[in-house]
Amino acid sequence: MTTTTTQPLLEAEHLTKRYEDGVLALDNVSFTVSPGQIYAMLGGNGAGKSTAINLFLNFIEPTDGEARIDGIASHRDPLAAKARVAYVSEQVRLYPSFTAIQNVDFFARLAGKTSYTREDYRQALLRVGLQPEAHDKRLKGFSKGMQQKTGIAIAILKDAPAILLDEPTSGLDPKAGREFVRLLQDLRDEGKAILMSTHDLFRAKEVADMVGIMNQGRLVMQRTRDELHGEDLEALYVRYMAGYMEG
Amino acid sequence: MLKLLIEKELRDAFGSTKFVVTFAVSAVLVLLAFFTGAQNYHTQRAQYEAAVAESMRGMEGLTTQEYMMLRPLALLAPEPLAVLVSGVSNDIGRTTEVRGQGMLVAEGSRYSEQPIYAAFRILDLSFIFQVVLALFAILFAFDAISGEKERGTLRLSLANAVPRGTYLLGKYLGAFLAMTLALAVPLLLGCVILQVMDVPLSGADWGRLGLIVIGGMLYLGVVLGLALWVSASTQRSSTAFLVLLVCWIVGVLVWPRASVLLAGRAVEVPSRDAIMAEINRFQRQQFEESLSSLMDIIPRESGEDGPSAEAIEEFQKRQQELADAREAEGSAFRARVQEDRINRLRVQEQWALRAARLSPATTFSLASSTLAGTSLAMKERYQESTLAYQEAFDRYLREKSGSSQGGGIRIMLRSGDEDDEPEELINLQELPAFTTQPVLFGDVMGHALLDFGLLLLFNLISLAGGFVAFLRYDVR
Amino acid sequence: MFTTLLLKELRLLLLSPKYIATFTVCVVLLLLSVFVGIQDYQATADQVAEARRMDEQLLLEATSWMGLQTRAYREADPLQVFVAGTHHDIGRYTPIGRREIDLDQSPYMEDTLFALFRFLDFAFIVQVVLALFAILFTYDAISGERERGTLRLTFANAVPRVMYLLSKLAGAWLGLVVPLLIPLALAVLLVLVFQVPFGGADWTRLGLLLAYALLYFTGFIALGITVSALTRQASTSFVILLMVWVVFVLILPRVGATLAAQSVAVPTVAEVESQKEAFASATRSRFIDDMRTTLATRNAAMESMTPDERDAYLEANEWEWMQEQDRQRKEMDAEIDAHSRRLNEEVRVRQAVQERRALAYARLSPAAAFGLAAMTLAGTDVGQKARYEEQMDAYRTDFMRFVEEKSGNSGGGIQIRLGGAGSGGSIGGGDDESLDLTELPRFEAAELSLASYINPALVDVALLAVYAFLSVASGFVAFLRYDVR
Repeated sequence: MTTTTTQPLLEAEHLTKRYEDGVLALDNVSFTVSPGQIYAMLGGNGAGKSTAINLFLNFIEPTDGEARIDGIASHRDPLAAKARVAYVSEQVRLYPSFTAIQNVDFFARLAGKTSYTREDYRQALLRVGLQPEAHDKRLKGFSKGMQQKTGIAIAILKDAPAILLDEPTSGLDPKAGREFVRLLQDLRDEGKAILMSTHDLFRAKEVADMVGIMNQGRLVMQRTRDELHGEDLEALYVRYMAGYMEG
Repeated sequence: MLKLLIEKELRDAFGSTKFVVTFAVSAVLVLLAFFTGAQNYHTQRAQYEAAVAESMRGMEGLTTQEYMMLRPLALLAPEPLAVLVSGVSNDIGRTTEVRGQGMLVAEGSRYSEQPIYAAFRILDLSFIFQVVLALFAILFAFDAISGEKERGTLRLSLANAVPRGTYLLGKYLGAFLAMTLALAVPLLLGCVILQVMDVPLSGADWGRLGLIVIGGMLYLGVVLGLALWVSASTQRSSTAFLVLLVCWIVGVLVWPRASVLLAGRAVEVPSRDAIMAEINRFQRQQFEESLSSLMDIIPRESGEDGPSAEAIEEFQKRQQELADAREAEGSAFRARVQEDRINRLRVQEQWALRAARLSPATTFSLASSTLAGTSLAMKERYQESTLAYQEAFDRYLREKSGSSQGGGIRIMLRSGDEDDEPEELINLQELPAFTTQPVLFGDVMGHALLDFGLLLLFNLISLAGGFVAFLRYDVR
Repeated sequence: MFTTLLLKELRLLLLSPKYIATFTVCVVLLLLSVFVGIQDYQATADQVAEARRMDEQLLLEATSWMGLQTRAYREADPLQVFVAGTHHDIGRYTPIGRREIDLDQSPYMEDTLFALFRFLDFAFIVQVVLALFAILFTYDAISGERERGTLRLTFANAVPRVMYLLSKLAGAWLGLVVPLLIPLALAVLLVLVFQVPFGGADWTRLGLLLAYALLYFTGFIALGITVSALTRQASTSFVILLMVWVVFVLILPRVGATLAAQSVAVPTVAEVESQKEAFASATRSRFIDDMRTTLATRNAAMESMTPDERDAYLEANEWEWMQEQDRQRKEMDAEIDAHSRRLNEEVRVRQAVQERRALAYARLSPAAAFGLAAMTLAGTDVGQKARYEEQMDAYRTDFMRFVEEKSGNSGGGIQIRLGGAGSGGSIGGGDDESLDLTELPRFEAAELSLASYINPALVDVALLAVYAFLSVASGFVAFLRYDVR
């Protein structure tokens, strides 16, 4: 059992978002992510995964309910909430005229981490699998995967209790994907609360302690790793997506 | 935090090819403006000095009998700052033939003498700031917000505890500082060029030049603020650029011209020709009157040698009295007929400039030309200087010859025995020299204050607009 | 297939927000410029008519032929509605009388307010704004399609590259012609409504102006496509094109003129004027000295005579003496005139050298070539001043000859120097009646033939054509070698 008794770090409570154009993007969604837990949000395009992450980061205001980080509601005190969370966006494209180190340095300082040395940056970049010879190169020539790795290093360096990952594996090749999974597990073991949205059923099953399937703004299924044990997640996914359509 | 954001902007700017290329081009332009400005100054100085010398040479050889034929030229001397901010300095007349009395008309503007420059205009510092650098500032800042969004770095940055206000301020100050640093080098080199090429600038002149540059930076600040505003109001950087380009065309190229042309035409000003014709008619009348009145008092010939010396003196005195009276009458008449036109011109100017100042580009252009002494006030300054000189010259004439050059017709009488006296030449050393009123630092500063205030206000407005837009910006 | 491609280009362009923006800006600007131009033209024409009427009145009030003077005015050209050129910078009139021709007091000298930000005319809009729009329409023609991936998709079909490029060219060209032609048609309507006197030749000139404008922006469109075919990213090609535009339109013409000013020194008018004055006064004083010596010799000859003899002697010789004095005076005048003509000529030659250099530098830019061609076409070119001064000088000769004949007939009189301002001439005493002015020659600017509006700018038009051809050709070369991946 990986379920813990500590206070959850990421909480969505009756989270609802209706856009100005009337589209209901998120419909009364509730879930929690505790320290040392990885929560994988699955769902197709427009299911509401990104909306949930945007609400945690207060990029949009909730219509109802709230998203809390370490007990702080994002839309009440966004700065305090955001100080407690690191974020990796889908398809990170950083400043092309900066080197990897310069990019990492800027975002670390922006996160309030001013005591890091160059060596710390190198270590972080190595940890995400970026070759040492690339550290001092400008990002202009970086591949999607290399940029993504740099973005993950930025999140690690922020050293926040919670981490939000928006389709983190989309730019990575299979090998890098496997390395990334290992990294996530390390972070979980360090006690981070991790929320990731993904299309990637395979990796979700491999790494997640809890899986939620979203469809048309609703959380239609939520299972722990143990509950999923022995079940075919792919079949489950297709069933829930289709079933919801019919229902 | 702010410092970090500014540092990042600076590094980003100096690392981008776009910034480096545009500012390399502007550095070349600024240096070119200073260099050709200094060269032009010396050319103009040499021409001016040659013209002054020629004017003196033209009056050489006149005898003390011929004071009435003195026609000194009041020539507008070139000013060092005018070559950097040409303003209207090439459009106004620079030569005035001064008579002791009567109306003075400035002739020969530089553009009318050399129309080729009117066709192409001149590359000066104020043009570079107003037109070229503004465009480069837009090119530099149009994707400040939307570009970061497209890259995804905006989400990444704002996922941290960064207040949006601070973020925008960091962008603004960072971009501003980047431009200032990039321009500081060529501007300082430009000042060195002025020094090396011996362009005589006094302490106050340097102060004015410094203020012109500060005004230019304030103007670029407005452009940057506006670019941020538009960038924060649009989702795509290509839209932002299009909007800004239209703003630039309208604000820099069209509005100044259109506002002055339309507002200027809205106020009807009587044509100068009508007034000149009236004045001509009056002068002709005066001339005829003067002829008959002189005929009445002209001393009759009393013998072989013509009138006696006393009679001539008496006649000269009477003649002078009549001339003075007529001149007083004439200048009163001229003032009366011109008053209406002058008042209307003032109103026209006020309206046109008020309308024009809605564009920051115009405000900067007016501020810089005021500081350089090449604004509309330049014409007045020169006019007043020639009038003051006319007075000094009139005093000199009266002192030397006992009569003035005004007031209609003059009759020169000579008594027969004068021919034998050796002729004495006029000592031109004693002729008062013409000087233009200097541009007073306090004066122009006072006039430019409004424009500086406006530029600051434009800065604040564009920043405030940027803040409001950015607070509501959809970073998703 | 070409039609398919062209239609796609037009649909893409016409529905884009940038097209709506440029269209609106073009229409507003062009109409505004023509409106302002018409107002300015009418004001100028009225001013000339009014001034002439007043001069006529002054002539009617004159009582003597001696020292009669008037003014000759530069006339407004209807085409200046579209191309103001140097109209506002050149003097409006010259006094016609004893003084030399000097076309002075430009509109900007008198109304300096309007000199602050200069004029807004059709030529300016085409030269600056339309060129910018041409770039805006074409900067992503190739690189943008590559970035979107549509270029690969298109060339996965059997599309010849030349045809593809032609459709790009034609699409952008048609797209830009519309926002030029529609407001121009409205402008023509304005010209008709406000009754600007456009003759047949003027319409031809307007048509040619349009042709020059088309030639000019064809060059820019092709240039945009060339650069976009030389770069991989649309943003890069835009920055490059904007730089090219800044240099061609804003910088080169000015730098050309500024550099030319430095390479040839031309004396200022004030300098020349005082040189003339110096020569004239030297010649005059020599004349007066000569007269004095003659007078002295004659007096010496009469010294020994009795008063009666003297009278008879005077009676016999006075006419001859007067004739001689008159001849000498005329000789002196001719000498002074010849000297100033020589000086003028010298200045003109140096100015011409300077102008040629300025033009040579400036013409590196198509914008300058277009500007020059347009000004020449409208008669508001750089040479306008010299052209007018020449005509006015010829008129002055006629006028003076006529006045001299008349004053000769009415017999001389005393010469009195005037001290007053403005009129500054001399007047003959004597008869008090007004003059018969019916035969007095009046100044009229010579009607220029159509060729004289075109020929001087043939170089510029040819250059425009060369620029357009070069950019089209380089566009093809660049695109044929383009890596469509």
